[in-house]
Amino acid sequence: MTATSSKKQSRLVAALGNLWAGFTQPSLFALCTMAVMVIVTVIAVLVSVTPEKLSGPFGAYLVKTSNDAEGAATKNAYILVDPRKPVSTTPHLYVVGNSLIAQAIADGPKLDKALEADTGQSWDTYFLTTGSQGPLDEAALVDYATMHQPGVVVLPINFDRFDDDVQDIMKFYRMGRLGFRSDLADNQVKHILKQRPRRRTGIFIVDNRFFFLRNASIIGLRFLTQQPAEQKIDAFVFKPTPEKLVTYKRDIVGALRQNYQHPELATALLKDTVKTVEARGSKVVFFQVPISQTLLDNPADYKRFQLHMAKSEEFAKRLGSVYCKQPGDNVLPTRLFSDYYHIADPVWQEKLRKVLARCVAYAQRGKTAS
Amino acid sequence: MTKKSKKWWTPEKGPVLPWRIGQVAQGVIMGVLLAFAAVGLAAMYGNVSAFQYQGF
Repeated sequence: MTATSSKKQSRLVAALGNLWAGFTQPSLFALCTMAVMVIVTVIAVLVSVTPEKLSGPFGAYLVKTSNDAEGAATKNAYILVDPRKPVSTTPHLYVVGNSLIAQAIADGPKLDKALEADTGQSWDTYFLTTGSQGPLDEAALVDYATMHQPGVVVLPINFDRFDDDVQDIMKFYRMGRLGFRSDLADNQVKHILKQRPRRRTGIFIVDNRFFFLRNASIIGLRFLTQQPAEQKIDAFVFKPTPEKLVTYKRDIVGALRQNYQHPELATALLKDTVKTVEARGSKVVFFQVPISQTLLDNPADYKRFQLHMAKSEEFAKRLGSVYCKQPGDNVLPTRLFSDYYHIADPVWQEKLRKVLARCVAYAQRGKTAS
Repeated sequence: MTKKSKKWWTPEKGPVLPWRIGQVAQGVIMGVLLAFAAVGLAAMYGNVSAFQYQGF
């Protein structure tokens, strides 16, 4: 009895000892297992990260942080083109554009309420806003948004949109910040900008390699720890230092003074995007985000801004779109902004949501005036 | 008389199965970590910091 028990004990000790030795000793066997696992992990990631997966529940793990706009916009774009998504009778609103519009509107559910109050209908709102959104990312997002279900598309119309040259526009395109490729954007690169579109192979991680590199590890970790991140639309409130504010003012006022010197390129891109949207039965609302008084303390700059708005309104009318702005001169007190440009005041965000809701209702009824 | 060489998938001594389980565990953990590290390094090399920019 004792001898058997002691034999069993020594076998257990030997087994545990060899288990530990196997776990810690480098060997050809461990190296081969490691190599196999690298391949298996890469294949698992390749199989996991697909448009179909990202538009499903797995997409919740895509967002890197609650402030990650590219991940959220990509996920929403995939949801909108998912063939499993039934065509709905609920009107759709697609808010596309940069941080200015995201920060001005600030809250999805509150925008839905404002829309319901104005139109008497409930709406499905999709935010496709990203920081520093270039016109080609905008075209790509609009392309995906309106591909399967027409709706009302909201686009921001800032003066800095009209001073970009080919290099500025291509710089953002080459960053590949979104995780999908769009025919509309690539055609604009080819036919309007006369540049070569990024190579397209049909393999997700090759075509979207920057997006993939940025998000692959975090998706894996979020999935393993089951920690999805929620999208925060108004994540653009900065508290810059006084020195930074001086730089911001110089850059923004510089863009205003440059405005409409060479608007042909931006205008051609925007026209093409709007034409595509309307051909699909969607309507466009151009939303003019108010700016801070401090930026326009020079009377000549104030006049330039008013001229920009007049030209934008005329441009929108020519395209048959709605031009939407706050009544008045659209210049607000500086205290409402975090940095002259991003609105951080909840009362004004609510006012702007109501203004936008009225414009969306107007577009839905097929009117074009502002 | 030549010494018979040991097979590379068996331990020098002791029970075989626990050693193999240990080796596989080592390979799985290191392989997954290596794959994640490679993606992380490639991300650093590819300078994808542009994504973090949240400006206008």
